[in-house]
Amino acid sequence: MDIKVNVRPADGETRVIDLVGEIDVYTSPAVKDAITQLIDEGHYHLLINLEGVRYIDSTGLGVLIGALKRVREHAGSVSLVCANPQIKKIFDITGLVKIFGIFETEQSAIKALA
Amino acid sequence: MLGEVKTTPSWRGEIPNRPEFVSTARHWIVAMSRHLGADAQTSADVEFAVGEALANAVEHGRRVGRGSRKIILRIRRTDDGHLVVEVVDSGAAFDFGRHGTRPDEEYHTPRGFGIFLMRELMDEVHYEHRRAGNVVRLIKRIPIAEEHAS
Repeated sequence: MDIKVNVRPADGETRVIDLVGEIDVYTSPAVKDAITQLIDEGHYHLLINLEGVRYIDSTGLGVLIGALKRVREHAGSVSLVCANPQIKKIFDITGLVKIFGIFETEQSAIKALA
Repeated sequence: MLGEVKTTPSWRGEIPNRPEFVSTARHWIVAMSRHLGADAQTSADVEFAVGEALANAVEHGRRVGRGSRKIILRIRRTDDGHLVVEVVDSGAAFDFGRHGTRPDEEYHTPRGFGIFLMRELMDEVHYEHRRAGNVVRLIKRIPIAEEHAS
């Protein structure tokens, strides 16, 4: 299983990163590279859409946390779109639900970020 | 809990110890767990926990320069209704007991974050280092399926 990464602009300063596939020890470097490139280009408000993701492991969670730490140095933010109950369960268990803005839909995320 | 409990036949699989094979192994575990009677939720928990054990196996194998070695998976169901999965790699021993915490308030992700997830998702997690390598044993009670409970 691979991961597909697509980056597109949203309203305002936010960039949306669409991820489709599984994020694990094999695929998370590709996710990290895409996020790192965006941050290096000066995009500090990221909306990561996980609607097409059915699996994420601690490696992938580490990438998300790393992104959050970096953008916060620039007063930025990382929000997540996630409706998959198993992945939401992982965010609950790890306590990450408290540090990321997590939204059911992209529409609700963009509305909240506006 | 395993003691003298009889088990149904078990299945064994193996993959090269390389990250690109981890997904295949996870999917195989899900298929086998469903075959052994696990419901969708239990299978999902098992997949996420086994995925962490596999990621550890890949990382440890790499650290000792043994990336080409294999990872062995075993899965079985005990007669008392537990799913038992073993992930065996040939990497160096590590201190399983000292790991296993969630990210702290500063969002530091400690090594062993995956072990924390395994312990949260499974009923029991055991680790031992044998001559052949690391053995992580994950145990999860299989709930009675709804169609059988009603």
